[in-house]
Amino acid sequence: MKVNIMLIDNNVIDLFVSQKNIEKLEIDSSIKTFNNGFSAISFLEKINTENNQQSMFIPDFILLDINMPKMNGFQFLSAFKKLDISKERNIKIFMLSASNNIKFIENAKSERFCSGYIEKPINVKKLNNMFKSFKPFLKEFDYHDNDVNIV
Amino acid sequence: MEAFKYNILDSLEGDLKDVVSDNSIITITDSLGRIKYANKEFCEILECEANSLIGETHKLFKSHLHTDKKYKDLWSTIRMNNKWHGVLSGKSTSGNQFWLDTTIIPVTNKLENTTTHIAIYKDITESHIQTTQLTERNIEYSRYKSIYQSNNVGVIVVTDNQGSIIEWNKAAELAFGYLKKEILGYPLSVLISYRSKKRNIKELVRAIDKIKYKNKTGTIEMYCVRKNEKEFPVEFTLNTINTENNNIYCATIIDITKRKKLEDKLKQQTNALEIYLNRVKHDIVAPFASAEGLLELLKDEEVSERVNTLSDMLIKTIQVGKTLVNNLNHEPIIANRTNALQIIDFNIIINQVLELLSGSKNFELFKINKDIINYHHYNSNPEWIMSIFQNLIQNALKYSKELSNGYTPKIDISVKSLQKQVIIKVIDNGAGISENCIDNVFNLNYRASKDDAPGDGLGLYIVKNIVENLEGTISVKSEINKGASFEIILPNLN
Repeated sequence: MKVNIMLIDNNVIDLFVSQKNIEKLEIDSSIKTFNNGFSAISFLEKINTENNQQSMFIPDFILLDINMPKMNGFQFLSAFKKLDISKERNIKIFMLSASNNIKFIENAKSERFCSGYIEKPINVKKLNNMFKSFKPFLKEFDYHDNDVNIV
Repeated sequence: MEAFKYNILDSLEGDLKDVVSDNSIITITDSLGRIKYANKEFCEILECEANSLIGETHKLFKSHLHTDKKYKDLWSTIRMNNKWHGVLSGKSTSGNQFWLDTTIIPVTNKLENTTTHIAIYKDITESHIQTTQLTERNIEYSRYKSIYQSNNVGVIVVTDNQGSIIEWNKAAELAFGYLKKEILGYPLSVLISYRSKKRNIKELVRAIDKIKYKNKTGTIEMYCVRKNEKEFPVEFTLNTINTENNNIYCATIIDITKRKKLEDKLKQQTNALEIYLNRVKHDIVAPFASAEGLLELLKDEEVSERVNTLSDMLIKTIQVGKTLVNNLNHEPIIANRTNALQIIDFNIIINQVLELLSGSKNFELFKINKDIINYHHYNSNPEWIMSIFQNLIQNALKYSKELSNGYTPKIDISVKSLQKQVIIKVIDNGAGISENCIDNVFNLNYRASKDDAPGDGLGLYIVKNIVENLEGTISVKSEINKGASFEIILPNLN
């Protein structure tokens, strides 16, 4: 079972760090990166309209940076809410930020579509915790298990 | 007026003379003003004996030399043998002022060719005093009335106890655009903004209750509406005045458009400043976080042992910088003396703080106990309370002992919320504070000697400041290598 992960961050280095850490998890995953919210939204929109869901990349997880110019994480969420895919698929969104601003954390938690908050930088441990929170019965690095349906 | 040429007293029959003399106040003076006769009633008013008056000049008449217009007139009139009428006043022997309505009639005795003046008086002292007071009061009344009416700065509206407007001044006219004749009789509520009428009226009712049952004034802020339907913010002070029959209400209304504008501007700027500060904070922290992530990746490349050591040192350095910047936002909290009091849910706040700190080094190794007893609500500023816990717990996390087998770092957090006070304790089993340092821990920029512990020396200083702002006390007990125990007592001011 492949885990599709979508990374949205305007900072290329952070995208790189996240990508590398996910690769280290040694799970069967495919990653798509976006350096702004708009392109991510339009990508998600296309999934919806082309209606060709078999071969398409449909994210199971989205790691979303909060502090981005033009469209920040919260603005992304409100755009995301309007997409059909947000209702059709159970996509888990985790919000990321470098600063431990309590307001961000509270806001993030009050968002219906936000599953959690992760303080940057991302590392293997934090990713593990993230996956584990959805599969508490699994051991670490055991995401290949086919009888588990992530979706 | 024709001259009277009676010779009354001399010509009257004895009985009649007695009747006149007994029932009126009478004096008879000669042409030079010397008293020839004064009856008993007159003596009573002057509070003296007739003997002492006879032969003396009549003090009430003064003399023709007197410059006062009244006496000049008196003397010129009676010298022309005309009747004079007017009010004369004087003082009795004991000093009581009296007023006499006086008629002086010159009587010429043709046989002797002399003139005497018969004066008949009426004591009007009482009514004179009353009228004078009344006039004074009328003058005062019209003075205040004109002050009230012409005042064009202070809007004062008076209503009867039903809320109908009964007085309206110039300033009210200018502020609301209604003329006096247009508004009298209308209820006060026509002046209140329709948009927020419900809330306004609720507040108004509350203000009225307040003045009814507690003190006599109630001030509220609300919106009023002009005749042209424009709204403007006001400060509305209502007080009640007891008149003889009814209570009337007096509303003093101050247009606070300018003040509101400034307040809004200040709020905006505070917000902008806060946003700016958060922005700056994030922009400084973000590259630290990226570098930290990269270094962790570098470590995993396993280039060499030496590179790993250096990476570890770099990561620590970066973490110090990160913590420092992240703590920057505590200071505006202290400066921000908002009155936003809320019921404090210690459970939620402590959980939020633990969540916030869950990224700290070795956080998962700590055994953290919470013991919250809530007997009584505590109202305070949640941001301050949160900051207290954040700093104390951060402190406990920071100064744990070297991790080794058999040592579990512990933090015990206890809160007792009582009716009179709240007792907060944060106890750790960490490195502790040495005796010679313990007095300094709350000082600005004090840092324990643990070199690698990240921090800016601000934490406990901030806690102490907050505690003092909340009128509480903070104390610390500690033993080296056994841990430290912080106790905060906050009075429950509500």
